[in-house]
Amino acid sequence: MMRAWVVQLRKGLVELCVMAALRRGEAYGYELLQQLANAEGLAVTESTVYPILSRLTTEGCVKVRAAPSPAGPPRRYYRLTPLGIARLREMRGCWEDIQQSINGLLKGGEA
Amino acid sequence: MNAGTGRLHGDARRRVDAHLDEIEQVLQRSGMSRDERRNVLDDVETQVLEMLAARVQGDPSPEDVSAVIAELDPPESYAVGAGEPEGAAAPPTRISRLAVLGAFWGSLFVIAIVLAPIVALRVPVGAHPHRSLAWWQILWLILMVTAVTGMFGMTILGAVAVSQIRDSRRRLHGLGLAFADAVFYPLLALGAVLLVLATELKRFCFPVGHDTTVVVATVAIYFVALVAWAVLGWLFGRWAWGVATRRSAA
Repeated sequence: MMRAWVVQLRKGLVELCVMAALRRGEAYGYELLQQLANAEGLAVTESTVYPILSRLTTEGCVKVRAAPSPAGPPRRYYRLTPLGIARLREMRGCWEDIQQSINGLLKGGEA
Repeated sequence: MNAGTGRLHGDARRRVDAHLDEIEQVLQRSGMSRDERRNVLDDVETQVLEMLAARVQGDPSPEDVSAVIAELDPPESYAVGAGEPEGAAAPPTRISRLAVLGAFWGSLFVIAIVLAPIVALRVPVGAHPHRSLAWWQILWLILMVTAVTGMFGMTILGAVAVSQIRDSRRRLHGLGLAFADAVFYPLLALGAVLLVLATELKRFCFPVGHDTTVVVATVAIYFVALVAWAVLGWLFGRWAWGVATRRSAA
């Protein structure tokens, strides 16, 4: 039961995390995955991140460019578009509101 | 050849392709578009080759490829909703049929009222009361019976639909329509009662006379009745909506 809750919680936040990571700068898929994998507690994997990147590309929030790679086929570098930046701003505002409300509730419960 | 060239051959290539094919099938079943699938597969392939390049000097063997693939998410994890607890996926929803049926049934009353003057005009003056009914008169009778019962039918169906939507765990929607079905005629009845009361009050206070004072007082009585209807209707509607949505949320 607890595990299911954690999975749901993470699932809802992955898109925000992907976009926040891209806000730092351009990255290719595997690189982005490694960045997110280092974030403790997120536990994201490629089966979650790549479909989100693909969807964000279709929605115009992310732009892709291919560049040669020493390791294999051309890497696909993702970067946020102005639309993506605007959406990230909205998502961030929403996240901060939720975080504040939940923190308030949790602190109230401790009092 | 090695992974550094971006090309794999033989069994090594086939193992990567087989993994990508399985992922594509899962994505396709999930309804993902061809372009999006291609993007995902490109990223997965790049990851496989990057991982191989990082750990294998020279040509990756099929076993190297298998070892890398074994570290990746299995293809089925690409399914939409993968990782969610069983039964957590959003169930298919549909609008409440009872709510729609109720709205249709109740609207027949309005249609009957609109058609009534037309039908009245078609009745020949001095027609023999025992003459056999014309086809349109039979239809009219059926419509009238259905319409009159529709007032009650719509209210009952609306209330039942609200209850069903409440218990459907979000499988049914159309709460607004069901609620409108349930309260429309009760609100209309409330208006009718207030109208009758206003008329009786006017008759009681001003049984005769048509001077200016009586006219002003009559208008005032009906205006108060109208305001009372609006206020009572709003209070009733708010209370009923609160009950419906509270139950629905529960």
